[in-house]
Order: sequence, then structure tokens, then C-alpha cells
Amino acid sequence: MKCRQIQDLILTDYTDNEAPEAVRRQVEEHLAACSACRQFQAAVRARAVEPLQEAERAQAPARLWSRVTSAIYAQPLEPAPAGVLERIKNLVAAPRPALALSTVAVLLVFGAVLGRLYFTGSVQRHQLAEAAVEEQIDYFAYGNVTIETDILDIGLEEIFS
Amino acid sequence: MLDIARATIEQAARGDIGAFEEIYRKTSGFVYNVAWRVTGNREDAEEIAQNVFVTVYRKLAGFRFEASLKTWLYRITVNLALNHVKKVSRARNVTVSYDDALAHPETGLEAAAASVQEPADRDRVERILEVLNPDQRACIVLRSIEGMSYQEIAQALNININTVRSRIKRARTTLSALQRKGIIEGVTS
Repeated sequence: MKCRQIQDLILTDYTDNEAPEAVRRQVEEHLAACSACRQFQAAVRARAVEPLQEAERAQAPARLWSRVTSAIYAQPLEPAPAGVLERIKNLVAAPRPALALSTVAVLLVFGAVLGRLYFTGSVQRHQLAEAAVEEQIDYFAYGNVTIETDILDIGLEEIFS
Repeated sequence: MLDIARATIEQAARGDIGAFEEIYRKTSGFVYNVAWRVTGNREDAEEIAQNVFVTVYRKLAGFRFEASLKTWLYRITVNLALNHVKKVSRARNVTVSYDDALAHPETGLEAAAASVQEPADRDRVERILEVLNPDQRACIVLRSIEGMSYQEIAQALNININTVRSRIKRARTTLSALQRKGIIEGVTS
């Protein structure tokens, strides 16, 4: 490994004991032979690693717990919302004819729309494409714009593909 | 690892304040310290720690035990602390880029240091951490002060492990360069 790679490892995995054993050995062999990288390692340790490892740890202030409880009591816990299964169970356990009928009606309408889309999809897509082209032509015809033909061509190809 | 029984977490999730206090007693130390080191301010840390525990109390019912409680707490704490730091930075309109500072060491480092306020009661670690951008600071706090592995940091911050590695590398490069120039207090050899 070159000095640059060794120094990257000194800044990260080697110093933080994240490097695999084989990589660790390579770094150590390199350090044994390279005084510049040894100096680099010493500087990083002294300036960027050890000062933080010696950081003071503070106790949370005693008043923090009373602050937390005051905030909690000011706005009590709401009951947890029911999960999806719970909601379905409630629906089955308490049948509501009007709701059930309207659900069936919505499903029927939804099925009919899907079926229509499936059978008439290609026709509609074609109509949509035509409308889009017309809109583009109108836009370029009446708008104060410069037509970039290559962009227009790509647009048309995509619409008709 | 936290010594908190699953039953305690479940009781707290149902609103049992006694069970929640047990969680608080076992976790408030690291929550407060992480908030302090990321914000660099004890008063802000207290407010953030309060918000962390109120958030935890309200969301505990949704905790699914997929991650450890500690990882979840770290995530909430760091997110709230970073949001706070970024909001304060915007309010102060601090726009110094430390990456730019490193790219132009003759002028950029002094500009970066000049933006740093120096109240008398700040400890050395606060002064060191203040020169880092908030995302790098969070990673270096979790690694060098909290002793978390890169994988744990990645999970806590919900970022890629290589992003963790990159932020730690940049943070240490910045700290070494600034101390070499004597811009922040430290070893000057």
C-alpha cells in the first residue's frame, strides 16, 4: 500500500479498530518502515483522537426528569391507534349494512372502470397521444418560442412508441 | 448494552410512568451527553434531552424491537440535536464551509475560526468539536466519545457505513489541520 492509503486508514479504520487483521498487519509493516506515516499517525492521535477520548462526561441535570414529566402530563398519552387487522376485525364484528352496501357499490364501480380501461386502453392511449401532439403544435404555433426540432422529434417518437 | 427488560419497555409503552422512569434513569446520561456534544451547549442539551424523552414516551407504542432501544434513542437524540444546530446556524447566518477552509488553508482556516464564539466556560472538547460541521461532529461524537462502531453509527444515523467513514476522515483531517496551525487549542508540534 502507498502512504496515501495508509494515511486514510490511520484516519479511520486502523485507529478505530475497524480494519480486518490482514489490513492491520499491512499498516503496521508500513509504519515500521515509513517515518513520515509514523509522524502522521502520532499527529492524528494527539490532535484528533485522544482529546476527544478524554472528554468529560456530564450527569443529566436533576431537574430534567421533572421537566420531562411536566411536559408529558401537559399532554397525556393518546390511546394507540388500532392496527390494520384490528380495524378489519372491528368491521366484521360490528356489521353496518349501509357501509357494507356502499363498499360493494364502490368495488363494483371500480371493477367496471378497470375493465373499461383494460379493453379500451389502447384506443384511449392513442387519443391521449393525439391530444398531446395537438397541444404541442398549438404551443409552438402560438407561443413565442424557438422550436428545437431534435427535442420535438424525440417527444413525438416517445408518444407514438 | 442497556439492561432494560422488554416487559419494562412494553409497560412504559402502555403509559406506565414508573416503567418509563426506569428507562429514563438508565439512558438519560448518554442522551444528555450526546445532545451536549453535538450542540456544544448544556442548556440546549437539556432542552433536547427533554424533547427526546417526551418523543420516546409518545412513540414507544410503535417501537418494534427490530433495532435496539439504545440505537433508537441515539437516532432520536442525534436527529433532534442536528435539527437544533442547523436551525441555530441558519439563524446566525454562519456560512463558513470548513471543507472550503481546508481547500484554502491560508485564508479559509482563519475565517472558519473567526466564526467560532469563545465563551469563557467552554471546555476544550467543546472548542474542538465546534469547528466541525454538524454531520461530521455527530459521527465523531458517536465514535470517539460514545465508542460506537461504524456499523452502529450507520444504523443510528440511518446512513451508509461509507458515509460514516468519510465523515470521520474529514473530521479528523480538519481537526489535525486546525490544531497544526494553532487555530484551535491543542498539540502544536
